[in-house]
Amino acid sequence: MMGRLIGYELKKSVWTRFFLAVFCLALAANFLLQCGIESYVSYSRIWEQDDPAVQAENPKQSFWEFYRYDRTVTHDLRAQYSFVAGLSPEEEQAALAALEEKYGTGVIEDPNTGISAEGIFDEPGYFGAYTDFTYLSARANLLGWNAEIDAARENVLRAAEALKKQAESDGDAYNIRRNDAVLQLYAAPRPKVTTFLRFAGKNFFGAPTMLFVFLLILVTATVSVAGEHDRQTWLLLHTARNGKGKTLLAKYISGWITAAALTAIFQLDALLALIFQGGGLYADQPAAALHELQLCPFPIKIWQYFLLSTAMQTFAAAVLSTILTTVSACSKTGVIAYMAGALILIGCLLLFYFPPRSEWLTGPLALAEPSRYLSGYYTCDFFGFPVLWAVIDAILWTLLSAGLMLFAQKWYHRERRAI
Amino acid sequence: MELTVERITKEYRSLKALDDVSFTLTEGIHGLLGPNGAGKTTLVNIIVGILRPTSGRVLWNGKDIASLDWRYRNILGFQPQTPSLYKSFRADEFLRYMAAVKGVRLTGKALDHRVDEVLETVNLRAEAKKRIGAFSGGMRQRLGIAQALLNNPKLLILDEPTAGLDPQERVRLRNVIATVAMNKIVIWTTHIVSDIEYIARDILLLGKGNFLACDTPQALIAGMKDKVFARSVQPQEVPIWQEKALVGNVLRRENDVLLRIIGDECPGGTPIQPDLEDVYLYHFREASGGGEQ
Repeated sequence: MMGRLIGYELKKSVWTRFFLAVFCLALAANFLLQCGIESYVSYSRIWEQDDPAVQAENPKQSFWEFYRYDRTVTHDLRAQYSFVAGLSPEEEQAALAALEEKYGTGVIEDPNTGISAEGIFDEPGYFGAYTDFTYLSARANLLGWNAEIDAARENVLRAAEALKKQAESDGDAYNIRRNDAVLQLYAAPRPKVTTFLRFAGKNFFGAPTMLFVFLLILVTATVSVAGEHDRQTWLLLHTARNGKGKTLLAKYISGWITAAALTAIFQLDALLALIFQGGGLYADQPAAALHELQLCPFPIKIWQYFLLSTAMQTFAAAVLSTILTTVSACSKTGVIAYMAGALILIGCLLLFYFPPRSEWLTGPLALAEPSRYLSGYYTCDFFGFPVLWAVIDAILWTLLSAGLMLFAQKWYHRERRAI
Repeated sequence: MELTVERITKEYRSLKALDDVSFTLTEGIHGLLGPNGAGKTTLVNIIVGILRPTSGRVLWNGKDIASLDWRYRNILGFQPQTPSLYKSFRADEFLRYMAAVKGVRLTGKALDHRVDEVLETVNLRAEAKKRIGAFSGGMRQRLGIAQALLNNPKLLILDEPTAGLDPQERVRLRNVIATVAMNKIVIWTTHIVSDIEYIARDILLLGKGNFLACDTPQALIAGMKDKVFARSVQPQEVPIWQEKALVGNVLRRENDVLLRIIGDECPGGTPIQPDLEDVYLYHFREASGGGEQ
């Protein structure tokens, strides 16, 4: 029975021309923004400002050609880096000895010192397919990136040691426990980066994806209950056996399903745009390879980070859906619900883009930005124990959502004093 | 099977919408007749349990409906006044949804059969796959009745079901109600006398929150004996009569005008056979715009 109610509620909220039109537009906009439409626009602008002679020599690339070229470059770079990372220590040692003898000692540390050396850009190089400069540059980059990650980790360990000593002398139980946890979490060396990560940082962190999801939730959740008032169908629901309690619960559940489905669809859309733009997902690389996650306390891979992000974003979307459905249940008309819902969403977005100093005041949408929680070991002093802020926020918002649902059930199903 | 409305009063700040209304209904069709603003919808909303009375209570078989909660809603079929329904749903889909909301314990073919049955009852089976958005007002009203019948209710309440319908649709709807009314208490609110004249077992006349009369149509009509008159007047006298008496009808003839006068007396008038419309006009003279008697 409940399943049928949820199914019909989904149809009521999603299967409308208005929603489908907004959904398609948002999906297309998300794809274009994710695949970096602005880089194509700036390329076009620069090309149009060029001399006609230059333009004639280099005809303007179409949208598809522009990104096909990007994908080819990324593919070549990935192959090159994977080849370098896949060499055995013996092969690497032999190559370095030969190249050092040919171009001098400094070229191993910094390939740029050998730019003027004869043969460094010639094909075939030591490894045949790649020039010696390509090999040396890729190797230096990989070493550099991994050294950067290791240095970041060692910094954290040093700081944790120092802070723990300080906490011990102060008798600060929370900081002793917290720094113990940090030392434990960062004890194991981070997995090595083995390839070139292109565009990933921008796509994973600077995304407007969730903004589209939030707007679509505003469209569906705000009218889910208030729309019944507009149509006068609430009278049918309130006088039916399951009309009290179950129908409102079905509306909340259908809101959560919509929120989850929208998050999944839009994240998939963003992934497709990433592949379209650069061709690579780098799913098996350590998350610490992304600059924003160098201090991530957990040695997770990018695909794990992506799943974790999607789960947290789904949760944030579901919380927003709960808040807006409650607003809808307390509104007399769809217009009032829209206006109140839009104000609440604006408030949440302000808290999202301009986070307050106190983590306790963080809005529900902060959960949609996992780098906020995973770019370091952010904990709350919970009766002397360090508890991750992500956990605290999730518990708080779950409790608040449950409270809102109980309130809405009472309010929506009350006997009216006037109609 | 008995519905009792016990001393219901409903006040909205300074306005008294219902004033100490009491009645008991048993099986059959009951017309709740009154002009716009008489308090019919307020009374209906209290009976269906969505509006709280200021005082008094509603009993179903002697038990307060508030304590019966879902058990009361389980035996209730309600068609509110002109709901818009869900325009994107097909008629059969809407009924399946309402079956789920009403907790009708049928699935698969049994549910399909029930949906077909109620669509057949309201003569909408051929339109089962049409979107509600494409329905006329009359079709929507009939679909509204279909949803009210889904759970085979013992108490069926229809709030102005003929509002906005053309005469043909009204007759069709009336026949539908007469067909489904067996073994049910049916409350039909309206301000159109002909809707219930021939099918209602009794009629409750509600005016300004008070019951003015409650009886069978025949008894109400009998009570109007010697209160309806035919009076022949000259055309120029018509406005004068309309000013000073309640004129139920104006029939222009070749040499004069025949007025149907409703009132306790009519000098020069001949008593004629009253009908239910006369009862309505007699009781609601102010709303009808009738003159002083």
